[in-house]
Amino acid sequence: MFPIILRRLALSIPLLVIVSAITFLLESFVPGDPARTVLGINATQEQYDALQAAMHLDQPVAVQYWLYLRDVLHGDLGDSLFTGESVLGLIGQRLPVTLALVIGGTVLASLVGVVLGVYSATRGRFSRKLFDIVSLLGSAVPNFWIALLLVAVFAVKFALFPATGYTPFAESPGQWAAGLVLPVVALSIGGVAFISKVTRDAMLSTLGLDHIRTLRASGIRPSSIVWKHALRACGLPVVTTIGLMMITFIPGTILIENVFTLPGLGTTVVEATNQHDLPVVQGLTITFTVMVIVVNLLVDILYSLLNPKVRTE
Amino acid sequence: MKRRTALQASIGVVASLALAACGGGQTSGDSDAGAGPANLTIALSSAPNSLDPAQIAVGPFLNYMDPAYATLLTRKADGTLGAGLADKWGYVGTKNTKFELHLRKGVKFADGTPITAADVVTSFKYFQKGSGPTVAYYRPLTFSTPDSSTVVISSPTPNPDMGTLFTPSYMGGAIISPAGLKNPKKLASATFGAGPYVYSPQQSVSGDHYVYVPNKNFYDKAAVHFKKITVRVMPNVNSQVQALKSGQIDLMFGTPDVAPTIAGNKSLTTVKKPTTWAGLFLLDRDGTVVKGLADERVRQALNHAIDRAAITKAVYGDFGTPVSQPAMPGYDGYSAAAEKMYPYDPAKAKKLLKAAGYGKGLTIPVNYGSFDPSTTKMVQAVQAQLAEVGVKLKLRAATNFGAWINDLLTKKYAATVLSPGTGGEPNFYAQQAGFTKTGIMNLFGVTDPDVDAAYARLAKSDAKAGGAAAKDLTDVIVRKALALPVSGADTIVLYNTKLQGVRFPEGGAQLISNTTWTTR
Repeated sequence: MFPIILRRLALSIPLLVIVSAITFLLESFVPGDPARTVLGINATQEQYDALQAAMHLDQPVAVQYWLYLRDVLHGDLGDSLFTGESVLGLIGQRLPVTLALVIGGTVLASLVGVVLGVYSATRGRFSRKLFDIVSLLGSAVPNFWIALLLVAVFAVKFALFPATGYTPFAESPGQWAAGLVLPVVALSIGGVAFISKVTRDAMLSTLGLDHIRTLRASGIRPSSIVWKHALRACGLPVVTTIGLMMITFIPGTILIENVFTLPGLGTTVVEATNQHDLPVVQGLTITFTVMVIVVNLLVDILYSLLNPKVRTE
Repeated sequence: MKRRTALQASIGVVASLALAACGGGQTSGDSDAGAGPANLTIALSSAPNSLDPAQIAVGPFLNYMDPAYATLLTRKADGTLGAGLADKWGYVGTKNTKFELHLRKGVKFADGTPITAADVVTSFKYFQKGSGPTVAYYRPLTFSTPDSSTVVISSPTPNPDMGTLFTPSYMGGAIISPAGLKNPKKLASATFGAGPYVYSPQQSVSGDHYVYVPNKNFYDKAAVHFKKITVRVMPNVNSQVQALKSGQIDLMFGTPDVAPTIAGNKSLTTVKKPTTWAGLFLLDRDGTVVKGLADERVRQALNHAIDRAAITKAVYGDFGTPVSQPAMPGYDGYSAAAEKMYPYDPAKAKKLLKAAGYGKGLTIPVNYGSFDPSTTKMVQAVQAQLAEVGVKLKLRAATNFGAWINDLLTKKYAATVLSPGTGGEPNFYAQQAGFTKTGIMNLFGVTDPDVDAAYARLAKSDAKAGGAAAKDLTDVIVRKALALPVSGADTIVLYNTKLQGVRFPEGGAQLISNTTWTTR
């Protein structure tokens, strides 16, 4: 297990360098002048020149990137051009919101998706058809639209949950949970459809296997066969799907956070892009990449736990 | 046993959802039900670029500054100047070049140190070096302090409305304490003023919400109406409306699309005022890029070729007014005579173009910011109508403010659209940027002796003659067709009816300070 983790971590370093370099290069092509954006039209030429120099914008892109990389290696992601805040501090402040969404969405989608998938696989043909339709709808309807619908019904009409905003857990656990219910539900609906379909298909093929037939013949209770034996055998494709879904949730938070005005990484990336706040955009890109790497690592670990063969390969 | 665990887990989930639901839907006023919101929560679409008065943009951004930075003077609802940190003020002599301010007795910064005339001058001098949008008005000023509570401000050229510079609309009058000026970097994320509230970094999350709590050293305790003022950043205007409807916020700035959606909700109301003119700044009036624009007849033809009423209705609905002048109804520069100069008449437009030698038409490169959907719609409508008389607008959209400025500075564009525009100021300031030689929007540095003469007359006028001189200046600009105004766009404010005193002052475009609002 340990060598697998080490190997994955070692592979992630060049990945991070490549992603950050590509982002840096792409940003240099974005029209607009960051210094001018910060200073506005009213600044004097001296002020403009000073800021250009301070931001290294008077240097070639390769030099700018090298200077950036050097700072990153020293643990410094730079400062926001707009607020002057440290990018690392900003990310630290916003990360819990995005993590709460991604983890909450994954847990909810996994639980509901697996239960629905198993239920559908063990019921009659009519239930399966109905499930197919519902599942198709769940994956086809965009989650931001679901989010708007949830707000209109549960926040505005019935005033059960707040329409927007985030309360830190330490401030009020009740309001923290309240603020997350609608965004987590909106984020997870597509995932529920996705996971339940994979679980259903995996379960159907598992239930037809010889060893399941043997278990049935031995008189073991059907629910025990399904939930204990068959579900474990379905583990690999389901875990893979959950991992993939979690990765899609990471950019998915951008829309959800914007609809619910949550102070997470998603709203920050939109604002920073609009403001041409390059250090923040760059820092967030690295953070998103790290999140994807961590999710992949978790999937690998789960894989190894579920299937000992993976450890020996 | 396992079944019991599952049951317990289910009960846990249901209990958390119930707990969540109980905590949800809480309004900003719930803590003081029936007595109005003891806390005031305002939503804005953008975070401030800085909390430094010398850097911050104006307009709705002033809501971030008003609580913490008291200004030397204020603007009363009737449009006249009111006392602030200074309680006496006025011109010295009759030339409109010297203005005197007397500081209120016993006035202190939030950190408890007394405010002296020298502190005011130091703050002004710092402000002059900034890059905020109103800084240009202060750069030519000089200062003296005859005694520790008197500041005399001198302008090299006459200014008939100098007092306005010390109200919240222009930020230079928001005096910064010596403690703040010691380390100007800190000004971006903390406040060092003398306002009724102080910014609380502990309760705020930069870029998301900004919290202000009462300042114990404020000179007028009775003027502190809220336990807490929170300004929340909510980029999506639809989310703002939902938050307003569910009671999470008390006030927001609306758009023509969302404002009608609160109709029928008795606890919410709207106030609106035309504040910015939307249309084309004809930058290249000397014909450097497009020769034809140097000809007055061509510029007049453009003004005849557009149906302002139709465009305004289509783009702004009930929240706009057709205008053919760079001033709007309700302000000193609005001229009824100018409004009649260019009725919609495409035939006349074609005739004028032909007379100027452009019967086959001409092409004008225009850049604009597409970051405001209304502006985009307006520009495209103008483009379609001008095409009818043979004038082709070659449009270039910028997706952000920096890109727009960058394009502008290339001087490849003969005209531009400033989004959300300018206006809503006394004519002396409103026309300075676009039409005077040194105005920041006069990128080609065009000089017009008639405009200069009208501007000089306005600058020297006293309060009584000021209104007529302001209208004269508008008449000159419109007669010579130096711009292509289309609509006066409203600033729209949606708010909870529990709030009292939310209004625009006479002749002004900024809501009166949020610190003066009260609750029922």
